[in-house]
Amino acid sequence: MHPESADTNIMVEIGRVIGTERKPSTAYTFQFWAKPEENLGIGSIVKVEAKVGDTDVKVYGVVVEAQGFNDLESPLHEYLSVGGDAQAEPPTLRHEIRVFQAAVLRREPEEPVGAVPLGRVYAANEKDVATALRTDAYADKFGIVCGVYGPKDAHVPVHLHRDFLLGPESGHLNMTGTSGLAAKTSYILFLLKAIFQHYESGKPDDQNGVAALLFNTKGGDLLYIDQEPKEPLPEEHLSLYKTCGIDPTPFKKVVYFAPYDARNWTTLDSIRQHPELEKENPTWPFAFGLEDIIDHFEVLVGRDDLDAKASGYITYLRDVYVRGEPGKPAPTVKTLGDLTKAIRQELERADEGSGTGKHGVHHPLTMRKVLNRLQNLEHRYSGLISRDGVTEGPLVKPLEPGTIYVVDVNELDSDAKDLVFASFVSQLKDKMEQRQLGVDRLIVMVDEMNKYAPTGGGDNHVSRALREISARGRYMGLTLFGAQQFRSRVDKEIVGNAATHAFGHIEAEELAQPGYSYFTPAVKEKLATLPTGDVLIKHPHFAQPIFVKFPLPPCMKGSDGMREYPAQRGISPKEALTKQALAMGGQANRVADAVERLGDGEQDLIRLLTELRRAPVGTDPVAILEGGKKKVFRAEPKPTIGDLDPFERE
Amino acid sequence: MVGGETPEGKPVEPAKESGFTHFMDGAQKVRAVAEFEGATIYLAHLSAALVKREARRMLPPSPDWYRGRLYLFVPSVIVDRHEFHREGAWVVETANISDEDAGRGLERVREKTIEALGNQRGALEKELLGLFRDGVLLTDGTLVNAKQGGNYPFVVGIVKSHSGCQYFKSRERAQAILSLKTGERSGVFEATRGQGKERDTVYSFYLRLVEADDRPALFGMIRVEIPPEAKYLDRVDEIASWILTERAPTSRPDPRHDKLLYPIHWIEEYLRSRQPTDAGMTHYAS
Repeated sequence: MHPESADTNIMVEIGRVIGTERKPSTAYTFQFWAKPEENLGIGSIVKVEAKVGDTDVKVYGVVVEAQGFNDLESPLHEYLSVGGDAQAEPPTLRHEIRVFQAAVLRREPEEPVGAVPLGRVYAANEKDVATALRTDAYADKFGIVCGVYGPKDAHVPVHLHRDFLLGPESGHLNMTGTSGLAAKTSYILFLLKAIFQHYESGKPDDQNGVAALLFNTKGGDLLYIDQEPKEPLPEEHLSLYKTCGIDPTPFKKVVYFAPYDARNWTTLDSIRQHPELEKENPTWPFAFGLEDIIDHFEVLVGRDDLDAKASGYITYLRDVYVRGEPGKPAPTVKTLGDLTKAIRQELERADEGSGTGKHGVHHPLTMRKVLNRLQNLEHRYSGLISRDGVTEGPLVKPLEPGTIYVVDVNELDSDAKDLVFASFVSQLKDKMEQRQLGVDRLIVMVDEMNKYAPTGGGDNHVSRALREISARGRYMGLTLFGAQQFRSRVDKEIVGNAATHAFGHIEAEELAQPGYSYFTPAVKEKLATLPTGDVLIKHPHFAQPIFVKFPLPPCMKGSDGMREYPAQRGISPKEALTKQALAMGGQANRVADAVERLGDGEQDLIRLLTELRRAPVGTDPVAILEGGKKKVFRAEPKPTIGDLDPFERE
Repeated sequence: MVGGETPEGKPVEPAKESGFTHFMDGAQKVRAVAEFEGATIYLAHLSAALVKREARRMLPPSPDWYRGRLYLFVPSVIVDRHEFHREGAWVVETANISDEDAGRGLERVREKTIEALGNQRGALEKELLGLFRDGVLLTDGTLVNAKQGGNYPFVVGIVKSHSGCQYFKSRERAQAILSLKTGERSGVFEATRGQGKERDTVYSFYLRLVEADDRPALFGMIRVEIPPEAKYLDRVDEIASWILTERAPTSRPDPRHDKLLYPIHWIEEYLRSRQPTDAGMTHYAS
């Protein structure tokens, strides 16, 4: 936008439409010239005004290609002009103009859709930008700010339509950007901020609000988003927030989850382990219970490993041992260990000629295979599998509106990350279908989509669940914010189902893929050199993709958080109990006394810690501590040496 | 020769900066649109522009400094030629076929048309020259229209074509002029044209802008006209040095790039861009 047109109504004429025989104006593209000094570039929005017959026609376009011309036919002529002297300055500068190609965003009147008239070209002012992007029709009620358009001194907020970003009209966001350039995560955090603020403003009719579930996969990226940034945001970023109408404050309600540390069950496997943070907003454990394991067994062992026989046996185990059969006593199997024990017993019975094996329902070899896989799970994912068989994590309770749930899987190895992710996605899909999410809209951010739902990557459980969410999630309140470095390698159905797309800096090799062919070479060039803080947005309401700027997230960066709050691990069970009880609001002296009175049995202390962590909000932690096993005080014999033998007979 | 000048070549160094501030040129686009008893009716768009150069940039002329009109050159024999007035073009009578013998009639009309074209274009340029006040003007062509109220402004004319008029009075002088090297000028002489009251004299000299062994003798050769006043005669080397400076940038790929200075080329392009298209002229003619 032209700086002079920052005012809503000022119109600054910058050029004229040209239609040559070789390159005529069409219904969707046109060319115009402008002076070299005009503040125009790829992504600039312009307006054409012309009179066609008696009708005033306005056409809005976005610049997608730029060319510079002078009257030189051959470089040799210029060389000859100055006699090969690069420093020579001829008395006359050559004639020079800029010619821009623009793609039509909107026309008024909408019909007929004819060729763009040869009219005057103006830099778009604020009102023009809203008209061109059709945000004028919905920005007030349904608008979610996705960034600002225009140069520094004339920023204009750009809005996405809520119902087309989060559903139900269309939904899902797909973000592409080179890893490590603060493009994907930063932008999605900014967008989440805008979404949450939109919901806080009370505009949506949805009664149960919105929540988000994020997976922290790299360092401390998402582990300090409830903390103020270490350095105040630069003025220009604050200005962007002001233009967007968003408070530059950290996220208010963030709940962090992390798996247990398999080597030390009193602590969590997360770098977000610091007394100050724990006091303020503790990290909670998540673990898969027996029912989760059985329900998502396919995810855990892989589809290829689960044939029909094994699958049938798993169903049998679930019905008999985990959920229980109607009319029969409640099952006694609580943990994975219990289940493997039960299978062993079944095998023994089968070997003896009785039990399920005998009747040919389940072959002992199938039973052995399942037993083998289940035993493996205990070792492979020990920190993730609940020791007492009870599921812990964000999906245990109904989600709360206005809350971001961060699941930290940074410390897990690749297989375990996959397991966590697949299990969550699968559970979310189930909850989505059962309408048990607890909020009207849940945003799930999934990074590295090209890994979880690759093009031609086969029909695995995760990609099926993601496809399902992308196809039907928007009707059921589940919105996928997928991100990846290589969009061309993501399942086409998932990409195609995303209504809104964001593109940050993208490497040239990726841009060479056919999926980007609808961008002009200039737009691709810009994407390949896009600075941090700029993003290209494609949205159903925009006829063409638009470049916008966005500010840095208003929260602490992962690297700063890791320096500010270094992880403190390896604490004793009693220290962990004290920490947890204090985080729950326990009075320091009472907690200290209660912990002091506890016995030293590690298993008992871990059980108590788990109990504390699972306690409902408002529970008195000291009461739980006091219910723990106490120290055994035994009277020690005191040496009393008397001078007389008490049994001596006289 | 004037002012003690001799015909022999005199080397001139290009100036560091050119002193020209304004430039002027005209353009024409002519199409035959009809015939009447063998005589052709021509539709022409004639235009001229006066352009200022500031900070090395040619500034597109203001509306006052541009002239562009459509003309119909109609033989006198067409009785109802006044009908054309309603169409918005200026009608210029050329010649009557019956005025001449049958053998020369058509040729005579053609000659008259060319003459009329030149006159009308000259008239446009004269209009613009009347608006020029301060600075140093370089114009394409002679100074025939440059006099204003009996006086000349500081105007320099450049004649690129030598086919119409050559001032090689003798074989020796011709040899001296044709053997000018790049950057050399001839001595200043008086160039006279017209007769009687129309008789007009200016100072002139030849200047070789560029030479090439494999090109004709007049390659890169221009004739420069300056007002016939002593004060300009004193500055003839300076004027020649300005012109040599104007050789860059070149006006390639124009075939006349050896003589066509870039500012003049710039105006030609400008005027060409404002000419009606072929389709427009055909439409008008129909």
